[in-house]
Amino acid sequence: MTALYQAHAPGLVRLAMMMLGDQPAAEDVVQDAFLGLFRRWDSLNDPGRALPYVRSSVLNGCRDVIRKSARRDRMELVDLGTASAEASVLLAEEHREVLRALHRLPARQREAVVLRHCLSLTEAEAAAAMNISRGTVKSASSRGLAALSRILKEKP
Amino acid sequence: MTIEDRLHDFTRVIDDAMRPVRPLDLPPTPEPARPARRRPHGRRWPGLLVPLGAAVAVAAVAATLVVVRGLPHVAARPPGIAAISPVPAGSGPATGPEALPEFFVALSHPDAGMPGPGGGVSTTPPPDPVVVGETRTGRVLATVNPPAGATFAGLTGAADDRTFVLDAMPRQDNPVAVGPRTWYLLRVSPGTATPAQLVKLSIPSIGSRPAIEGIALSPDGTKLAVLFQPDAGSPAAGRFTLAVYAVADGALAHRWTGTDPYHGTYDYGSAAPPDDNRTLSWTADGHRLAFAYRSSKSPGSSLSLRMVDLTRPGNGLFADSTVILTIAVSATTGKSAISCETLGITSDGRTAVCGANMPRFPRTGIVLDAYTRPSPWTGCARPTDLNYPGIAEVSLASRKLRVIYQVRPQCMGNGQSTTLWASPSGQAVLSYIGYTNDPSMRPHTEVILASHGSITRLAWPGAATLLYNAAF
Repeated sequence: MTALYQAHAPGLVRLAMMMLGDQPAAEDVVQDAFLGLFRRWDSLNDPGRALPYVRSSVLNGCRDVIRKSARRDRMELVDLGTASAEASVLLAEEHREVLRALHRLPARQREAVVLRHCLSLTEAEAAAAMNISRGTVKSASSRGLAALSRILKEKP
Repeated sequence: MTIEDRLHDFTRVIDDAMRPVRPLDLPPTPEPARPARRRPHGRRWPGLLVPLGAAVAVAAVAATLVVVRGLPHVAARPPGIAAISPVPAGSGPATGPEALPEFFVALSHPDAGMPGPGGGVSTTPPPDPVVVGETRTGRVLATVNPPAGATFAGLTGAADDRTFVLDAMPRQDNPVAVGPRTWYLLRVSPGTATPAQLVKLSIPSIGSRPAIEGIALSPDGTKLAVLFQPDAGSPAAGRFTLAVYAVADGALAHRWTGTDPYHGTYDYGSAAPPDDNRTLSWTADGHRLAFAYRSSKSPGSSLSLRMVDLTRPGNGLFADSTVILTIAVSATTGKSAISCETLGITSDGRTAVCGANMPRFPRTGIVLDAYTRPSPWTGCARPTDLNYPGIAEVSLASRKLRVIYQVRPQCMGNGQSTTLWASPSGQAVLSYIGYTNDPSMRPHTEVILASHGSITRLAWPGAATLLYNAAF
């Protein structure tokens, strides 16, 4: 478990950071995901499934955080994560634009774009993490990229 | 540049901006597998969570101070611990300025801003009431609720152990959000009908999104020093500023401004509450104020302790302050003699107290120079050469290092040492020490009182958790 964490925690935190825009919150999600894996470790038939399982848990955790925030403050849904990311990390304006644009995408498209084009996961890996088919990953990432491109071309 | 290129570039930047990930925090043994069910709301950091109610209940029956060294009960010491200095009996004077403050005021949320085992900060909902308690026993004397719709974000105390200043900000769900501050005076009168009284102050809110890097009430309780960056994290982020306000009427008494948004402070980047009350320290006469500083333009910058003199003119944070101590980081190797989580001066102005990570065998008595620096995270492995947390002091006259206490775990991530309080002479220091020492990476935390050669541990349950966010 510790070895798995040491090997993959940075990548998983990076994934959650792109979803939430904030490293401490991202680390909490990853910690929770590993805690869940820890509790189910004995019932895990194939240790090789551990990484897809925990990656999927991280995505679920991010969705929970986003949903919770959205419920509590619907008016600021678009800004979710961006402000805190900017508070903790000084990003250049061009990168802040990308972060904001990612957060304007529908959740499925955002996840598909991040998994496929930021983290360079295969379609199969992304599909396993998102619990959807490879075809859906393909269409979601393709639509997400197109939408992202449109958003980034918009005048502020 | 294609959209894919922009995403790759963005990913690289996020990679560069990421701080080291904190170690895994798991229960010591796996629980039996159970059918999947919904995770309890808001569960985080199970190893660190100590509900306030439990802490209060246990604290009522807790022992007071347990002598760590000199006791025959070796088991009272976590494995791997060794203190450096000789330890005579006793725990220092019980009264007078060198005595441990009788009372503390603390943010009550069990792990508000608590460091994780790797030195990261856990993010939990902002703290709610503050607790007034007895330092030696943990006995809670009063709780003070924040104003409606607000949450307390920080606190700092005067030398009389009765006067505190608290700041509050609008309650938000995002634990790392920041907001305008409202300031309050808290007077503690144990044993009276009104053990704690909260009064709103006229000190300004310091903008809508300030990063409060440090707060410190002067020893006489008349002046509040605030180190901050306006509009932190936004393109309009302002220059770092050190301001001193009169507690009585909120009037700005002094203001020193930095040179640009990147020439900031030791804690640059951690804008989220709790507001740090350990980066600023006053001399007893209230004339001089020291602040720890490290340029955020380079992660390998040397750590400095600078001092401003309130009796002299000038408003430049750097031009009108004096470097009184530098913990040098080698430009070529990135190494330093010790690494200070907190760095402040004693109120006699003669000693710097460092919540330190040190080499296993620190070169006591040396003049500080380049040596080594900690690796970000070693996991459960033999500690690197600068992963032994403890308490160190540096004479501001001779620059010589003195190690007061040090933990020597066998297996750990980064150590953590934070100075909670120091007596006027520095002969007594209260410190929070955290480290990991077993394969589960479970954090060990303790509050150590090093007083006149004696090392003791505050033994009431929850001491480390509560006092980490306390003022004395």
